Amino acid sequence: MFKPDPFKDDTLFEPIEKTGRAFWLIFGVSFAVFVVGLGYYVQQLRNGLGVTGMMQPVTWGFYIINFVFFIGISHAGTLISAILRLTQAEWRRPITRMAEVITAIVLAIGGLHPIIDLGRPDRVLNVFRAGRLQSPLLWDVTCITAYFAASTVYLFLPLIPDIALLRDRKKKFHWLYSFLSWGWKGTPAQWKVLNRAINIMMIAVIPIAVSVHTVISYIFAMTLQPGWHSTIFGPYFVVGAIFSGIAALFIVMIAFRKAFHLEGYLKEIHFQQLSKLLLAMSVLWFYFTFCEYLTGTYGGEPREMTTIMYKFSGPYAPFFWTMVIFNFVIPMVFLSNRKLRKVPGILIASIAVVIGMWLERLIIVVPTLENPALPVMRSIYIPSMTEIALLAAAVAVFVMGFLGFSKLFPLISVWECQEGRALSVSETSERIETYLPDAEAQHVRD
Amino acid sequence: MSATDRHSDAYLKLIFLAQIASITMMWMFLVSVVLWILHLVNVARELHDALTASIGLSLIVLPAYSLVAAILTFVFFGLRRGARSENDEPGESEGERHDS
Amino acid sequence: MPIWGMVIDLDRCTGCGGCMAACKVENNVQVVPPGEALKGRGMHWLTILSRTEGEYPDVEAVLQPDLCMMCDDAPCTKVCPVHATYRGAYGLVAQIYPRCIGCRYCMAACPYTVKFFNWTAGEEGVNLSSSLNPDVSVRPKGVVEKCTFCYHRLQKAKERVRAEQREIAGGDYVPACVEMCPAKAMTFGDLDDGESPVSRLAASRRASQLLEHLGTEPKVYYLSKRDRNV
Repeated sequence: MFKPDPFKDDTLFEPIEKTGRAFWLIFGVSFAVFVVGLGYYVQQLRNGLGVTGMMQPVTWGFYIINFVFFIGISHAGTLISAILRLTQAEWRRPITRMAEVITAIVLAIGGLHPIIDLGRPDRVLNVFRAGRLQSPLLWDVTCITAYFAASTVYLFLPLIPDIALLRDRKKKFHWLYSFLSWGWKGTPAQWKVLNRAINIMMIAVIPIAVSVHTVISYIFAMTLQPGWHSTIFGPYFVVGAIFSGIAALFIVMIAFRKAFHLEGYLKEIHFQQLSKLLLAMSVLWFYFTFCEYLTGTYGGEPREMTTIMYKFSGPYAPFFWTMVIFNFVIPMVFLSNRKLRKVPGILIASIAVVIGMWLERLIIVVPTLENPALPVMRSIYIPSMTEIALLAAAVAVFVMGFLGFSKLFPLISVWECQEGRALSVSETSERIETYLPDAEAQHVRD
Repeated sequence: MSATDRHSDAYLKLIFLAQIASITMMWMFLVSVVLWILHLVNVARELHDALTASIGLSLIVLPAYSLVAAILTFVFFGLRRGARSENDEPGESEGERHDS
Repeated sequence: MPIWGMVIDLDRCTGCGGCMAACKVENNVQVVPPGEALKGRGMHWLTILSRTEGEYPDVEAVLQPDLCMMCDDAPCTKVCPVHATYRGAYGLVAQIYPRCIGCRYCMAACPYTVKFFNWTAGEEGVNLSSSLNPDVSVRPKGVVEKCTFCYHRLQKAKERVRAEQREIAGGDYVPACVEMCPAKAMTFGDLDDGESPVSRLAASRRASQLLEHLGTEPKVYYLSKRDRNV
């Protein structure tokens, strides 16, 4: 029977037990940015949304863009980790935890954005009292909360044996770890229960994750506006979400590998494997973008064409073409070339993709609103300091949340790594044996 | 920090009570979500909204929430039962509960 | 029960802006400070769209009052998460200010761009409280508002006909814009009554609706000699 050892893999426990000056520096800076953002938000609460750059007819700006963007990033985790677990990809072991943490933190941040965006946040409870399920906004509320619940549980379950290890190390917060470890002792019966639960959750979480971003796209697709009213939007958003999620995962992986010297866990092979996934998503993203714009351009419906030309050659052309370069050209260059597909190249491609995907959300939300059907008064949307400060604050909260998590729990699943060392070689070779064609009616053990 | 090393009975009992409380709170949360969704379906009926959309959505959301709550409960009691099956460490879980 | 509708004759419209001003005063629409208005936050429940048609030298300016179309199948009411905007009695699309959470989804969904958001609190700098219409509530910051077909006038008309012990009919009230129009370009009345002037005009060959192809079924019709396939 496999039993993880609490006193091995000290490198993974180091971030929890030792806190350096760099941590406090980064945390302090993030906290300062967060406080500034909070100040701006209080000002917005007092003065109304007039402090933003939004106006008639661009009634949705940074907040909705960031909402879609952050929820997109949140697909990193759960979906990647669930798919890798489901396909029994052995190299997943050091990656899944980080991915799941990204999901939980970013989902909380993204889920709050619509409330920041409300003109009357004091009335947000009207959604509970008198919500109408036919409004796509309600679909969001229900799907995002369900996804948040499912992904925190999916984060928590594989964390239990690690929490027990922390409890057994008896370093700090013993009460917290005893509370959260749920009496874990690693008996065979407990393993059976836990593995079964993880298996159910990993399957359940995939449709929930897909539904969340589909439903977010429906906010736009359900209206009659050109550039939004498109059947392709559901899968387009999901693909974009996974795409930006993998890129965000790379950035986090590379940062923590550097900071905590995890080179022995996050090896070159992990980056190689995952970067192939990123490359595939880049191609898929390009395919969807191509489909979306080709049908619009070929049909040439006047209102549709107005928004498309606004993006191709109008005021949004710089953003549009930057997006294409960042989301397609740069990943193509850096990830399809074996020489460049190293950690620095992957980092460049990932940062490009995250920025590119943010631009994509910008390009989806704003140009449609800047081009109303009727010749009403138009304006160009320029975000105010409030909106920029709140975006910075959201990123700062993400950094703080991740750092806070790293001080409480191991960012790389300790028991899964140890289990991998102990069991996966024999398990995998046994499994591969079952794949082999039994040419001479050879007896196959299972 | 003598309590952490000694694993005194009161300490373990307190932690167990906290765990039970958290599970109970989760179920209360589930019940309130169910009531909320039912309320919204009722609102949709009163307002002559698209009832199919409301019922369709509730059919997706309610199982998702119920699954999450059921899994957590299953794991919690499964782990406690599993801990008793191999009784190498007395002092942990002194026959607190029998049901699952 | 009448279904209120409006017909605007663009061949009569002189573009004087009287309807715009009447609406603004009648409905206590916020007077946005100049700086805010320059940012694109001006508020007019009824605006006059202007565009040019044809090519030089046969250019014609087209002026077209744009107000809430009171769509029968309104895109804005479908998406409201809290039932703050809905299709109410008499086929009117209503907006409940105390219930609106200010998500502005209805504004994003409205293809006619006739919903307005209170970006800032009203009456900033200019004190207009003495000139407010007592029949219409003043909206707080952070909610969406729009043309109501002067619902407060309808309320008064309802009280009047109750006192006269009869049913409300097409000609019992008109909104402020229609009352003001010096060119008699605007007609208001019961679309359900086939004999009313408004429904006869709406059925004429010159009549069209804005963005008809979207299937929103507006209750505001435009009359024009021009071939108008917007």
